[in-house]
Amino acid sequence: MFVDDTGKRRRIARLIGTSTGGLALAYVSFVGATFAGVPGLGRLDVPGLGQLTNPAGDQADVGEHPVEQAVPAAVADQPGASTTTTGPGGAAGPPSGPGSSTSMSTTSTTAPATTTVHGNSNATPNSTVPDKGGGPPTSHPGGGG
Amino acid sequence: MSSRASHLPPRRRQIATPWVLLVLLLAGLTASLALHQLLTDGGAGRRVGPSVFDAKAPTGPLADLSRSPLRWARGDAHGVGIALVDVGDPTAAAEDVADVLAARDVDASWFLSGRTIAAHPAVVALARERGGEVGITGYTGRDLAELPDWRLRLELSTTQAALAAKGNVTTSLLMLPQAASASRVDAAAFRAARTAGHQGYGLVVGVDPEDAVGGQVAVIPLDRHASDRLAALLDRARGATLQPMPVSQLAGMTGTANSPVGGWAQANGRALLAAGRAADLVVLVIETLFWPVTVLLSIRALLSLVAALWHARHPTRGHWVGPVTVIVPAYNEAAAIEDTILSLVESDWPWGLEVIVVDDGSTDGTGDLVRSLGIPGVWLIQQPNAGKPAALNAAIAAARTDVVVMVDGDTMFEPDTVARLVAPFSDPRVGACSGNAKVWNRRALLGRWQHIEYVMGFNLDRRLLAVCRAIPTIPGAIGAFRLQVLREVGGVSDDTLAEDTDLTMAITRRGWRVTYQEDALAWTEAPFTAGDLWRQRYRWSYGTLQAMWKHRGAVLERRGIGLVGMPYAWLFQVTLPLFGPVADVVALYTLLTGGSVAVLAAWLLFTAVHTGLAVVAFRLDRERLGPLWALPLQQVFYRQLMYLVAIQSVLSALTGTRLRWHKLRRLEAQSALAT
Repeated sequence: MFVDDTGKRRRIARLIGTSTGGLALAYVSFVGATFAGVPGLGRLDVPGLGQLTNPAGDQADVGEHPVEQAVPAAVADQPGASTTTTGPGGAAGPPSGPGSSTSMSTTSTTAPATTTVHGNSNATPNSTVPDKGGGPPTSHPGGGG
Repeated sequence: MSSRASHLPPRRRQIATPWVLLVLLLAGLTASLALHQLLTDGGAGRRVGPSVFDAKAPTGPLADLSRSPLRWARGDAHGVGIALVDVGDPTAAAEDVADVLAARDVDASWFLSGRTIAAHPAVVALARERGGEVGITGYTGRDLAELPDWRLRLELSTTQAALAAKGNVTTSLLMLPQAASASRVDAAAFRAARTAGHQGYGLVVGVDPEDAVGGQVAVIPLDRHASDRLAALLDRARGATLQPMPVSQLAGMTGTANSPVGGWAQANGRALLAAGRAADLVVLVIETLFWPVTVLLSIRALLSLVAALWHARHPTRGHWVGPVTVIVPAYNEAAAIEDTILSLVESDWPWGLEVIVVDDGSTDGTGDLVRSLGIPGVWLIQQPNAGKPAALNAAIAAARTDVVVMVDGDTMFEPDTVARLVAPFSDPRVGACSGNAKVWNRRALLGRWQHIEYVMGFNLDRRLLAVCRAIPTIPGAIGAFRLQVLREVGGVSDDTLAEDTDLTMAITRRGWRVTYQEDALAWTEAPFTAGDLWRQRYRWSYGTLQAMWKHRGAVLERRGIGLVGMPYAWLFQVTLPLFGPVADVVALYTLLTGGSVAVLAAWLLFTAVHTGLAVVAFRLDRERLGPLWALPLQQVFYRQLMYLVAIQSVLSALTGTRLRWHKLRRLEAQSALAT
């Protein structure tokens, strides 16, 4: 019973098995390449920012490894110092009605005075962050303004 | 033995292919689970710490984090950037927003999640149809700041791939919806942005549209208020003579943030999305099957428990007495046959007992050994090797008593076994009786597992099936038959490898009752090695398939065997074992990648229920509970062996592979291992 001496079922089974196995192999390889981040396969090149025509300059007040240095656990856990993530964050407040009283001025942020304090390394609220590449504001070659 | 060895190479080749396939399929399943998790896991959310930026220092609109220290691109003071951010399903909002943009002839930047891009490519089209640009927020829309770097890179790369597939572009703009304003860029968000920055992404940071001034990016979540807020912003921008524009333009990027991709990148993206859909389908099927299977297994556990207790309280009483013939088919049983015969002739049965040993062409001197014993009442039939059914039929032809008992050549009876086994024949409707086979070599782990399996099988499943009059198999180790019934069904057929199941089904289909006498004990020898166990179970499993196929007409005959016995076997012996590896891979994956507590709890619950059933079965069989410590371990090796055997036998049946009866290797030193 069940035995097929002609071998026909066996050939069909082998065909199905081989194609299923091939498909599974291709799938595993592709997903594996995606997870491994193989360039061109799973990972595409990012176009990049190109040449920024009006850079504001280097910001030195954030360390290279802020996770380790910037936020002490005690600070992060203070209820007053933290908020829970909900939705799009601070930029997603309730909508103001049309004709909001917010003034919109072209001058409020274009004053050179505001853009030249970019390099103020002491500006961060996290006083535990050491100055990394900071120093006096005037030392920044990229200082805009 | 030598003949089997000579057949090993072709058999190995036959086995190898299905196992390679199984491994590949399980690897594919694992890949599906991983990809599904990658593309759908929404994250748990987290607490946001204080901003890494000085509240007074200028920030935004675009940070180049590829270098350290980071560099801000200053926004065009005469413009205001429009950033529309995906915060969930943006399809409804997107059309209204696009209408507002079109009416005012304004271009904007759309920050979309990979999931939106994949599921709603119309939004991408809306974003791009009027010169707008597309940035990304990550694939799932979860907070990227809570991810380790490798996961973060995967979120970004998979989103790029989706964008390449659906929008034919890649992008260099990233927004973290949970850190869209500088005040919410905490250390974790900054780390995430830095990781992305090293890959070439610019981080876009903006403000609420109501607060936006020249040079800043107004961030508008794509929710139901989006078009109103956008319209209000554009109104105010016009009043302040600010030019609304996409982020890249505001930040003074040379060229657009979107770069067209080639066919290869598109194909790659499409392949990823297709792989993701396949993964979703796989997970959907598993999730759909999970509860029905769980319910099914629970019902089976409950029913077998109730039935076992009922059966134990309502034993089949009988008082049949008369001369009995015990048939012992033997092929190379020299190691055990003497003990078997002695246990039979020492039976406490004063009404006449003859033993017929059929030596089926043994090569180890079994026949000579039996003859040398010279015990009165023990007869020997010797025949060239013709198989177990032929051996049984030879003895049936020679038998002269109304009742015939069949016992394997490696099995020993208790003195009262025959009396208890044949008692039910006082009921003329009873055609055959099954005894209770017990494993005697239970000291080693493999034997102990089989002992547990036998006790549970004989005391739960078999009692349930006995109550339903649906016993599918009287084991070759111990069974009693009316001679008339055996002749009625034409003796023992060699159509299948499980002649005992075939015979039992044939008897039941002719309307005879088959009972189960749990106190008629037979001590049988379980295979000592995993290989022998495999071959034994392979034969049983394949033979049961054959028998069920042969007697498939039974399902239309309104008897217990067709209504309960065969569906039960199809479901629990054939179908469910096929999904065993899937269940194991899913459980293992979940355990290793989180959700550990739930999976662990489920596993503990399953094991607890299983153990509870085992305790009941052991109590019913008056067995010591000691060996049950090996029960949890059964889940780790033994269960896999069982379902792999089931899979192999189903595959063999489907492909029509020819099998050989693999004789179990008999260990000579069995007395040394006896408990």
